[in-house]
Amino acid sequence: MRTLIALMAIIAVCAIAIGADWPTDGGNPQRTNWQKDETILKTDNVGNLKILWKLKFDNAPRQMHTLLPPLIIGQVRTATGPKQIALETGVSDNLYAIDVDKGEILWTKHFEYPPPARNGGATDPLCPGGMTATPLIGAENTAGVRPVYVLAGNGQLHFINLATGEEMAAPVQFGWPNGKSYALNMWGSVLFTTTSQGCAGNPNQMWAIDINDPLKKVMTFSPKSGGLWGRTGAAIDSSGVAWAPTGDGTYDLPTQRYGNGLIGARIEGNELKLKDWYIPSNWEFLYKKDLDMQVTPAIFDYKGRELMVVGSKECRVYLLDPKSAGGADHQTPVYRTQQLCNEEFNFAGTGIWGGMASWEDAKGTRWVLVPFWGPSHSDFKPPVSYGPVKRGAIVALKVETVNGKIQLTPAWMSQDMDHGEPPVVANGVVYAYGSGEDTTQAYADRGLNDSSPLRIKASTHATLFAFDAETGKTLFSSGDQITSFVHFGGLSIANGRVYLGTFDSTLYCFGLPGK
Amino acid sequence: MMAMRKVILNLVLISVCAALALSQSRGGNWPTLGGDAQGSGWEGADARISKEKVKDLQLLFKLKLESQSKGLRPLMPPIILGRLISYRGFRELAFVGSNSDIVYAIDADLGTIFWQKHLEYSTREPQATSSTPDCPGGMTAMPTMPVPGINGPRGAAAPQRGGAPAQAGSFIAGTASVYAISSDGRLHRLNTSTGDDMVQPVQVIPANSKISSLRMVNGVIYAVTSPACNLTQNAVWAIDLTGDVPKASSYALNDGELGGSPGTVIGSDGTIYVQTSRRLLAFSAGTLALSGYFNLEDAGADDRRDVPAPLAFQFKDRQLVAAAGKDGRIYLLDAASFGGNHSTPLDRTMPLAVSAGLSTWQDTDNTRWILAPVWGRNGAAPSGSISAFKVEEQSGKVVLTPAWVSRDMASPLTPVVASSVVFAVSAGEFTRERAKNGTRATLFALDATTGKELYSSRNLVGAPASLAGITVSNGRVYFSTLDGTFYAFGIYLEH
Repeated sequence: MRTLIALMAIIAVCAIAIGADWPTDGGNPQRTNWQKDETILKTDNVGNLKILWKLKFDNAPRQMHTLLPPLIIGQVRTATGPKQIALETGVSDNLYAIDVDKGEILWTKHFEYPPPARNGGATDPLCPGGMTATPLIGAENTAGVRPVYVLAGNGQLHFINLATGEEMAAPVQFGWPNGKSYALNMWGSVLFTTTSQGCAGNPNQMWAIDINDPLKKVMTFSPKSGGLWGRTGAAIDSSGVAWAPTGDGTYDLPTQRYGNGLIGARIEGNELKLKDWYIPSNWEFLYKKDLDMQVTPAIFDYKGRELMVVGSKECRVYLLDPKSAGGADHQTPVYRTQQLCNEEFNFAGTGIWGGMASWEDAKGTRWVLVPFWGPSHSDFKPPVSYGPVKRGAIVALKVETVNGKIQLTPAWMSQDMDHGEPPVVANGVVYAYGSGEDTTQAYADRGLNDSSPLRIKASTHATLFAFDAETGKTLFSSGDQITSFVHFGGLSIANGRVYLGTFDSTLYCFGLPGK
Repeated sequence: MMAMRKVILNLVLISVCAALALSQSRGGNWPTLGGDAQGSGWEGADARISKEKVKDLQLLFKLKLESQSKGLRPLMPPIILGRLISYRGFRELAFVGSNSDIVYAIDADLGTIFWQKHLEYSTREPQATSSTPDCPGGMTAMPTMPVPGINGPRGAAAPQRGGAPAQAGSFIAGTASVYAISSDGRLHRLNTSTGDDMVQPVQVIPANSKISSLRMVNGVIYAVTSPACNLTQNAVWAIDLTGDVPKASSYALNDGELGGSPGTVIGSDGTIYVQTSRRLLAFSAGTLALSGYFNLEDAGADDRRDVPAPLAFQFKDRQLVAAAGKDGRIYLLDAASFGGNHSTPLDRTMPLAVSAGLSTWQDTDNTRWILAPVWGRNGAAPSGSISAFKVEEQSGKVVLTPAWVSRDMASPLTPVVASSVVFAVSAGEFTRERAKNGTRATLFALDATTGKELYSSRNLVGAPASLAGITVSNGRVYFSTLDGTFYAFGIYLEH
């Protein structure tokens, strides 16, 4: 027993010394948003979170976009010794490497290119142009360098040395200028991204490139839908299938249309091939109401079986088996929840947006965390909640087997928050934020008028929360310490620090002073 | 370069296909009685309706709406806005007018009331309190939305009068809206998202008139007042919304009684057609200058019976007009010559006791069909039926050829057509003034080329139908009953 305890202590010390990473949006290729290696922050101290530092960057917003979730590497070899580095990405083609211990910028990089001929609309939040894909930090190479894969706004993929900011190789084309790519993901040597909304006339599809391919062939698969706009791009299962929601669109097999669903594609030879898909049985209704499937799935293990969860603006959660998503008819999930929110079936300002999270507690219980915007559904009554939810919340579901069938059982619903955004979870604590974003796209007097200036003006400020992951109890709230809102940003967490970038190009680092 | 062109071509194709898919799945409009300016009653192809699927029709929802139990049209058939992007989400809305001066917006997918607006009676003229079968009181005008399709297919942008862009008056500038005339004769422009008046309502027709369904084309709303309720003259009205304030003009219809007129229809060249008991009249758009007429045979008896609406439609390269006379015959006219000597039609049928209005559709072989609701014995149908005719050319003449007669129906309403399926409502048994006790309506779906019954609602409807009409749009068929219940039948769309 003593030996075991000693061994665990050594492992813990090593973890601290080596440092946990957050090398990709969502924390890992499965997009679980679960930081397994956190040891500093826990339920009994997270209430003492403070702003350790905040940095305001010279990154100009584009429409409502500003900062993407930072990537974290716990220990990077640099010329001045090992450092923990956070890599922040600004939509205006900027990279900022930060020494997180000091809260200082180590290096910056800006990608220059002639302005693309095609852009989004002048005030259109959907098509900001610029660098919209969260980069990805690869494993250390034989030279001890951590490569950063960065997709600039002109569609060029850059290979950057995380320690120095220098280009490691000539960039290659991996997309179209202002094509609105989403977070990069990686399986083996293959990078994936997705594009959406036909920005600047570009196609909506899944993209892949093998960085070891001398020809750097760009491989694509198009579901012929309105856009693959899962916030963190595609999630990748254990067999290398990349899963991405297809957004708006119709489902029609003869014409190979897979709108309002989820597609899984993988590399076969040097092609990106459709492997499987799931389309909700009410896809026509979803399409008619513009309740896009636009949530990056989270993929996880449940008692030795791989499962994934996905959702939509309709505010249901679908539990799927990646080995046969939707079964033989591609429309039968393992389980489908009731509507958690969006009772009115509104296309804007309500529903599940972006991504989800999943973690497993010490007892082996598998949890799914679901963010949503807007009021909770009047028929949704979780066993634990914390007052009425009018603006958004986080819902925790347990994956359980009941009478031989796997289901998602509601466990708790958090307190009300102003637009519940995709959470991250670490060491028994759920971190989430209300974005404070105004998400109005249509008005009573004008109808559809999705305008960045209007929405920016009506937005308030983000609020970071920490919840007990097993009960949903609020352990921390940043109150009004954050002064700007967040649009399509995200949380990152590693080594006792929680990061959030805001519209005013400020990166906040929360943590425990002295830890 | 070739590869680039291919990519661009593919993008264009994708965009076109996406646009087509959008138009197919997200719903079209049914903006006025009969669905279009011509009053055809034909939706065209409906992605959710087919001869094979229609057997699965079901009662999707019914709603009891506030109405007054007077007259035979307490609720009007809905106009349909297939896709509204509102502040409360994407909506397909059915706007229903009630004789209680209420306009309802009903969520067609969910079967719930999205909003309701009571149009306050607000004019010096006291509100009529008496009610007769001819002058029931309350709001009688079926609302309208702007109707596209003049000089083009359904959904095409409507050209402006005189070729010049219409002025953006306060009654038409900005977002799409619903137009209704309340019982006080005031024109309301209602916000489709909220039901609020977008501008101050304006008196356009004398209060307490009986006003027909409204039809709005190129910024002008057309309607007919009859039969002289509250001493309002029988007239056709043009309410021009293109100026700063709505400007109403009228043409008195003194030649023949109208009974209750369902209103105007508008030819593809913009000509306005109105039918009285003795004449079919043609007017120039907007100005209401009489441009032609045709003398109908006057049956003489029951002169105040409601006059059916005429039909305007294209047959090959000709614009034809069909009208059901008081003698029960269907008259077929060439719009270009309009009867020549004002009394010689292209063709006319034998007397059929056609009541309500006609409808028309064209099959995939380009055969033009006319459908007539017949009240009374018609062949093997003792009570009533739908009679179908083909418009054909025989020996250089355009003729109406009988094609089929439906099963027996009681007082059938003007049918509507979608995807080669005819939807007909057997309204129930009626006397001159009211429905007989215990009678009730039945919805039928018929094969539009054979008349074969494909569906019957049997006993799902609990009361006789309002005689105002039927609407079909985006996989759903709507009508109402005299007890103020609004019915929606259709193919179930999973929520």
